[in-house]
Amino acid sequence: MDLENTGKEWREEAPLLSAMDKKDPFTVPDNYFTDLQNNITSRCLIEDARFRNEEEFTVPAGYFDSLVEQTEGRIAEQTVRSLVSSPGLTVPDEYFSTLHQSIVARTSKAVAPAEAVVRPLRSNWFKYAAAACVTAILGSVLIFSNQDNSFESGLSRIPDQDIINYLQMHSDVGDTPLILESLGQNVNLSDISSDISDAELEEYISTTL
Amino acid sequence: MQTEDSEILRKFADPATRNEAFNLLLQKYQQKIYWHIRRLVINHDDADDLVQDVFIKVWKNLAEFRSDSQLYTWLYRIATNESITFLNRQKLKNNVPFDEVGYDLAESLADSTYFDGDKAQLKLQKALLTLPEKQRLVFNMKYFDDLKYDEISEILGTSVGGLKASFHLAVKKIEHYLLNTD
Repeated sequence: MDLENTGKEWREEAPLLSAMDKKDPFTVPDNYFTDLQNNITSRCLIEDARFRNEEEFTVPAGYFDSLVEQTEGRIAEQTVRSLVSSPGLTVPDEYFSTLHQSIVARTSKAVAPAEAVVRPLRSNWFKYAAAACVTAILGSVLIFSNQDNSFESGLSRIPDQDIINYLQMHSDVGDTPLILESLGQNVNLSDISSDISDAELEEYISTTL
Repeated sequence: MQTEDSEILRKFADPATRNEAFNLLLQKYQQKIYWHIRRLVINHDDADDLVQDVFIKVWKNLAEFRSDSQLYTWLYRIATNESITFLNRQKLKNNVPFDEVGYDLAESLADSTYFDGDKAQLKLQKALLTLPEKQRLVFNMKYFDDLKYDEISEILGTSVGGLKASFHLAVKKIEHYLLNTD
């Protein structure tokens, strides 16, 4: 084929093709091109407006740097929410409808001053001291009770006749009772001592008293 | 009567008449650009999205357009690049080998609501979808849009000789397909 005359020759070399109608077999919807012009014009105006707005608006510093992470985080959050729709926590019935009243009631009350809390003196050492005292008291009681018991138990073993004989033999307690009786009386000592010598009197005092 | 490209560019440069200029440009080129895209991507909805994207890019960049090329070749270039980018994205999305994308588009063609061709035209479209993308582009612009080779060269950045060879090969393949396929 002569490329310079391709325009004519191709018809000779392609009779089927050259015989075909060159009309486009494609169609378009009714009024398409009328609407197309309007559509294109509208889009151009929108593009212009968007371009102007992009110039006027700014974003915070570093916004686009963190945008990807934030978007991925939101996506992950949505995914979790889709898997777990509710955290599973519930509240009592009518809770929120009465909540407001509860809060108002609590805030309107006069708050009483807090009472000073007197902490009783309780400490570990006090407990131990108390325990020691109780133990001492009990121990003393026991000891004394044992002593009495031993004296009495010993005495109980002595026969009664022996006790009587002892008391008769040692009933003379000397002149002490006589002296005690006479203490209150006005006794003329010269009448008593006229028959007793001084030596006898000294001996009497040393042995009796 | 359509407005000259120079007049459109002059009006677009003036903020007071910019919208008017853009509407004039749309009236003049929107259908050509749409069909150029549609023949590549086949599906109407895809073509609709792409043609809007193309003209929004035109709106944003027309002020910087230097008249070292024709306005319509510049428009075609944007539309071609957008379409090829779209098709490559589709290949990656559908995990389709690059040489098998035509099969997917042919499937879409058969199911398309907005296809009104007869059996022969359906066959032709399927034949086109067997061509490599760039070859299909060249054929479409030459056969359907009747563009000159130097205009196609300006759009695709390919030499005129390469374009001629590409078109020649495309014609042969299509003819072979039409002859040998039911």
